[in-house]
Amino acid sequence: MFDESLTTSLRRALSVLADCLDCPFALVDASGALLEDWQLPAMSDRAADLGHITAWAPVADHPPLSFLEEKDGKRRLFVRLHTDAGEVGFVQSGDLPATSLLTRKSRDNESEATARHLIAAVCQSVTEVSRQSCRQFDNQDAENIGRIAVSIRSRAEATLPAGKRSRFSLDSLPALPAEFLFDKDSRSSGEHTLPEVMSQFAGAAGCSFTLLSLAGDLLSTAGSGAQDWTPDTSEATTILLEAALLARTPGGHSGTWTQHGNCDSARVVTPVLVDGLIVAALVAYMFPPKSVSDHCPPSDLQRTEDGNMSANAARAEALATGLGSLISLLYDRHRAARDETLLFEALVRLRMDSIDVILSEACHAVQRILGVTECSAFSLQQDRVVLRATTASQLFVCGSDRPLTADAALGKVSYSVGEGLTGLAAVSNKLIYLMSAHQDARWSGRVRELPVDVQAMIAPLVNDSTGICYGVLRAVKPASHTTIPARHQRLFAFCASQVAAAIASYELTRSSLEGFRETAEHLQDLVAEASHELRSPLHNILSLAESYPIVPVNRQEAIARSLRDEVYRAKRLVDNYLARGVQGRGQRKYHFIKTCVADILAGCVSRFVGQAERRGVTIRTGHEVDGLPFVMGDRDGLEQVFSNLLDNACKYCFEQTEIRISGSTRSTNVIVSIADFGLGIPAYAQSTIFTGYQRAVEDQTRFKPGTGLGLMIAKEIIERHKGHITVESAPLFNDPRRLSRNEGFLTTFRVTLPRA
Amino acid sequence: MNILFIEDEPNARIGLSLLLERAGYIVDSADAISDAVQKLGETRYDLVIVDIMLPKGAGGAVGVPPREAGKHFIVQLRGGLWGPIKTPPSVPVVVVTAVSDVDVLGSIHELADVILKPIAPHDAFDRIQGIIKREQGRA
Repeated sequence: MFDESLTTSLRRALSVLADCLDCPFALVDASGALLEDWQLPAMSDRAADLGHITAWAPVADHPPLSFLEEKDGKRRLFVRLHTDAGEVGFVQSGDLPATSLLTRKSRDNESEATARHLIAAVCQSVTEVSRQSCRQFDNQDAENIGRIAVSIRSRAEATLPAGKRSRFSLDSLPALPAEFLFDKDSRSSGEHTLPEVMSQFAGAAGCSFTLLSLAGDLLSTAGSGAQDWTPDTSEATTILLEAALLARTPGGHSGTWTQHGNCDSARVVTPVLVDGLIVAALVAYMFPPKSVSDHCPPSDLQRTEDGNMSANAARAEALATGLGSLISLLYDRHRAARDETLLFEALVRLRMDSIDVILSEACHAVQRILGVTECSAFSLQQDRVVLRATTASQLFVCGSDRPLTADAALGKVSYSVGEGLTGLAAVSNKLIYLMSAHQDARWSGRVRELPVDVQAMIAPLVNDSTGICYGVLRAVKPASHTTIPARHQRLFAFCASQVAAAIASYELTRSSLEGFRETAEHLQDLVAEASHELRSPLHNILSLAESYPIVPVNRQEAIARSLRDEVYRAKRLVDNYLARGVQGRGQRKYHFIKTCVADILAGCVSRFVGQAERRGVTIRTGHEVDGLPFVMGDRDGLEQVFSNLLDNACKYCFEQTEIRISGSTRSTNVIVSIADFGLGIPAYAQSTIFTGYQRAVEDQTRFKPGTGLGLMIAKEIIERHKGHITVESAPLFNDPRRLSRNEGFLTTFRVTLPRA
Repeated sequence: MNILFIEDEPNARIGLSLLLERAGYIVDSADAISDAVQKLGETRYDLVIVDIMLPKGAGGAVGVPPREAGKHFIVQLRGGLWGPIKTPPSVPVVVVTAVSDVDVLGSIHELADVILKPIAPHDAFDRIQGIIKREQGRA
């Protein structure tokens, strides 16, 4: 009768088939009573269409293992279940929907037969395995069955129906790639191609080998007569299912007698496994069935008296098993090398358009090559505290209450540094591998409540040379018996370090380019400004020069003086722009000699007298200035400084006021002050006025275009002299000097220079 | 014939105004916006010559109000204040300026001429004579 373990095994197996074939199932005992009525999760959204599964007793006693019955306009599939005790009951499908593979009429009914055979074979295999090895059908078996079911189905019909989402996506099923099967290049490295290996084994074993894909297609053959045998879908299905269920039995293989004609031949089936899951099946035939003639020649494969296989058959069995394992190993090595190569290529070709692009491409590469369900990157934000999801390859399962699409996840899911495993990775220096989220307390609570258990690799994006962390890279796949192989973990860690290096390189390049671009823009601005500024003095010179001959004689001297002033004005502009624009190259050298400050000041003042007089401004130099000690200075430089300061004072002082120049000594320094009364410098600007920063021209302060330069240059020159320059600007009301404004500022520039 | 010459630098004014006066025109000078606005309110001029120095980032300054009758432009005189000046619609305006971003100036609509500095007074005078003759012919 049905025991607990068989029921559990059948349930698991049938849930997989339900998913692949679009049909629910139930267990019914021989009398028609429903043993288990379960709504399989995959079908729960279609419960209304399918109706509640009720038990039927099959009305007729049909010979075949599986059959369809129709009642009240509904069709159901029945599959007999046999155990040691004989027939124990049926597996019964629910009402078959019109879209089911089982009800669709194809040209030759092949698909219907295929599906029925598949179900029957699964049930039979499960029962056999349960009986023989007394173990339960588990998730790994389910995975294997699912792979075969989907492959067989896809062979029977072109594609799965649209909109049907199966856990087993055909695209993600592994297929032995052509380069592994027939790679001629491996010859050069001394390795043998797969067909050569198989031939050698076939020769040694005295039998034929055939390698079948999951869909039942021939991949490779070896040995005499093997090419003649092409399994049909039913036989391939049976073979593959045997192989799949053998995967869990150590050294699994099965030797089965099959009947061909009048002679016995033996077939041994070995699975080709990668990571514990089936990718192909190896079939060894001791005796090619098709070439059997009625009169069988004596063969090595004779049953001994007690029904066991002969010694040669046993040896063939052993070699077949060995070959199956070898193919698994070869494929695993091939895949490892291919994964590495693909990943290296992907990393080398990362487009460095922006950090987001780098992360996105890396995620897609990891997902594609390492076969994870999703790969996402979390960027460490400016505050160095929060990690925000910036990219994801596919469905974003973890880190939120329900699955999000990649678009919805971006920017919304975040962790603090140290929060959850993702946050923890940011502070650790190496990869964290998590085998099962449900069982690991370090993962954040959100994930542990997800219906699907997951395993994950999480690596920090840390640049090896600088130690800067840019974020975290995370790869997730459903938890299963197979853990993520160590080599994948190594590759993932390597990928993370390469991505970090790429980000570091990108940032370095970008900041350099930023710097260059800023410099270039700055120079362009300077050139434009200089050109505009120089036009005015030149125009004035022309104007004055042409006036000279036509004005009365007593005005000519004034015009000549004005001409001189304008030329000096132009010279000042040239000096200032030159100083600003050509740092290093073409810069004037400073010659420090004992200099008399009074002389320089006198010269500068004389050049501004004309300009000042026009506005009624007088420039008065205190007598003490004549007695100031010498300073170590560059004469032209100091001229430029005082000219710029006087220029500033003249521009912004009120009309009819006085600009006062005074001097003093203090310990080893000489101090020169230039004070004016007029537009002031607000307190908040006093620190920036020497940096060349110019504010908008809206308010009436001393920030007009072309003026910031002079003060900045003055500061640089004075600092080269090992002195310093300061400014004070304070409101001064009710000053008798002010005549034309309601309020004004007394602005004093103070220049300190070391004595000679 | 009355001409208003708006220019804050006397060294720039001297040449051209002398030539204009010797040719028989009456030249009024204004070196500040307020002065210019006042004079425009008091006297009817046949020509206005103005030095425009647009502030840095001049795009904003040329965002003048939508056309009313007359020409608007923003003037900044060196070291002085800046603000809008409006002239009557029929009076031709000649702009003399160091700013060579002609595109910017072009949006100050319907100028009689734009003269770029530096230019010798005689050459400026010739151009202005031409404008005056053209305007008289038109009238």
